[in-house]
Amino acid sequence: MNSTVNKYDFYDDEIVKKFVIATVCWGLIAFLVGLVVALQLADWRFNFGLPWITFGRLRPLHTNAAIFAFAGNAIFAGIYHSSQRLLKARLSSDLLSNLHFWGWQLIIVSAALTLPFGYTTSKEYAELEWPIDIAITIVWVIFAVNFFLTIKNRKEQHIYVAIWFYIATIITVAVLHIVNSIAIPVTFLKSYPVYAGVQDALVQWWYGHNAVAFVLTTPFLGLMYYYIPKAVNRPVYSYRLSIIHFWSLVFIYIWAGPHHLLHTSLPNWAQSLGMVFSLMLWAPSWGGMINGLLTLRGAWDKIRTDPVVKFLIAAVTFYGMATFEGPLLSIKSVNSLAHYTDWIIGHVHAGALGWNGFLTFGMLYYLVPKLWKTNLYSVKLATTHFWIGLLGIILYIMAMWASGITQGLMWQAMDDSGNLLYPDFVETVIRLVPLYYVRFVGGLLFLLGFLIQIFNLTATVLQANKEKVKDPVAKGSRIPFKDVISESSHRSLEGLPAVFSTLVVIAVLVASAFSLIPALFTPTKMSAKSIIRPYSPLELVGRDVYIREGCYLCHSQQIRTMSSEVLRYGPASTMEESIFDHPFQWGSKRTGPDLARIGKKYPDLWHYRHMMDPREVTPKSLMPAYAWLAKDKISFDLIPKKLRIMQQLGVPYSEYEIDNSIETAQMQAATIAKELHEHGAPSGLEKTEMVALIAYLQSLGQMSIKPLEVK
Amino acid sequence: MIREFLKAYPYMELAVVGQLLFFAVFLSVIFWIFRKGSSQFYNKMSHIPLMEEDN
Repeated sequence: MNSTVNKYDFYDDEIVKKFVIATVCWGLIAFLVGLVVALQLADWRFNFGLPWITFGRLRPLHTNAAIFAFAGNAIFAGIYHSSQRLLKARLSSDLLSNLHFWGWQLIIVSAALTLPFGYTTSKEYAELEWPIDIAITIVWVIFAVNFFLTIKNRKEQHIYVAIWFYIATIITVAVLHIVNSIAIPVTFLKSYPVYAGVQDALVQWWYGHNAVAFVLTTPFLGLMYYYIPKAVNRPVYSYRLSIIHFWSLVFIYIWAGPHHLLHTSLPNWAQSLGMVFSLMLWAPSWGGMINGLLTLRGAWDKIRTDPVVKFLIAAVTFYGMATFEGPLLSIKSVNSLAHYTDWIIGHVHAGALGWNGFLTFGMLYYLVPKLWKTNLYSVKLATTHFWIGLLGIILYIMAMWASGITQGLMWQAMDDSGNLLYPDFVETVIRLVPLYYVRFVGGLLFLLGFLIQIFNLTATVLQANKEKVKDPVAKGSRIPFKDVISESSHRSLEGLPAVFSTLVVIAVLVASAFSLIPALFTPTKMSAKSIIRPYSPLELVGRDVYIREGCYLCHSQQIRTMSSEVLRYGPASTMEESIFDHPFQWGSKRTGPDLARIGKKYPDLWHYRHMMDPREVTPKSLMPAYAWLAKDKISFDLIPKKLRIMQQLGVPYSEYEIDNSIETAQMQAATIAKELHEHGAPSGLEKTEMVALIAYLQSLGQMSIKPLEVK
Repeated sequence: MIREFLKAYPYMELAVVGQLLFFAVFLSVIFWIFRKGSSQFYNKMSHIPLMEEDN
């Protein structure tokens, strides 16, 4: 190559290729792990009795791989490819681009190396421990700097709407990640979040909901606004509608988080607020969907012939369906049926497989031939992928709808005298097993389609000319800043990223501040300590075992304010009861029963036998066995440090309690072990995590010092 | 202190103010996108992705 050629005259597509390859590789892993966890839910034997591949450890790996590895890399590939062309500028720094790429892959690898070993914060989609959280922050800042410098260097004056969506993504994800991840480290891979109980729940679901909004929605909408017009060679149906779409989402999305906490002990008005804002989201979401679909006006025939268009349009249709279902599920009465059931899993996968998956697949079919300067190896194979994948998604969603509604109705079903028709929880589970196999088949088809795509894309790359051809940066016509101002003030906003970004920051921060206000209405630890006692040292250790094993992924600890729940589990949970819980363990899914009042319901020996082999005490239970808990030893020496950090966070432990915590824990462990042994369990359990977990489970719902106030 | 203040505060006005604010933002966006001379501008904007072929 001629040395006088300036590299900034060409787009940097090497980094896009890297992210494309990473997307494909991590997608394969995410889908494979998904299949494994699906099988584990259908038959417990697929847990193989191994700690690191038990459902509770693998599910966070599946969700993190799907969201941050597959979708994450896809977003970066699409953003880096489309932004350079929309801004008519090469990415500002090759160094930053590569740091971004390798840093992100390193984060994913560390996730894969920590989650199966039980290093988890137990905060859904934010399970990674604090050192990885810091790495995420650094890499995100690198991405942001690279992106904003590219905007600064742009040769296109105007900023296309896709870039707006990218900017909102970068800003909001940073805010969400930092606020939700604030924690105090205990060891190198263990920390306690600064929030507890209802406050932690509120922060977590403000994060969780908006991770869906700003990782899985806004960046993909940006991609939609670029790749659909490119694929059909037509401008977006209505640019005006895209602006309404954007600002409505930015202004409304943040408020909707509490819809994950309906009928819980969160103040009722905060629940209603979350519900109303969720309902409002119907309008902009459907506005956006219609805008995407109508971009095909006059080119509808391309749906038949072009697999890229097939995938993109199906993706937008799934966006419409998922964003119809979301607000529907946020209506309190619908939510009372659907929450904690597989309906939610079906809803999530309509979005993840249909919207994110298919949009990414369409983008890949568009990008790979473009990047490697060749044609797609086989249109026929791509079409086959489309139909197999679509069939897979439909099977998956239908199975989960049926399963969720069945179980929800069974939980609420009452006989003529007003008693529960299915008082035994496991009765409601065994009904679902056939549907879990249907779900597995759906997932298998989806993966099969993806394998066809991998073959097709590999063949495409292999047939490409090895000679590298670079795309030159398009000629731009950027007007100097001062002329923009004088030219026309009212046109400048859409070309001023700084002003624009500030507006987004204000909208997001104001909404966040307001949606976290309910946290101020919760009781303080000071006021609660006369009602609720904190965990004993051994119970606290058991709680960490509970978190490590991912128990919260199948067991909630929150009895909702519904008569069927009170009949089944006891009085509805109160805010005070989880006030010392750093982190909260309310859960979001009940594959097993709620545990908020499990304490003292069964003798210690029952729990021992249940952990060793759940089917011995509950025939047909789906729960994996946790026999290793009877072998793994408790780290007693860490206990004082754990209590000290809890004390710093406001949990009322006295100096005396902290100083004597090891002895207290050993005494309680010895008492439990002795009793277990007397009833027939083997001796020597007093040093094992088994007794700690039993101590914790027996404390649940038993922490009241005096009867709770009835309001 | 904020906690006490908020607990004692009746929210009716706040709800109305909030609703009006949101509605105002929505209306401003509508007015903004239909401002004079915007059609031509948005038409140009919407063609940005299509300005360079085959890339």
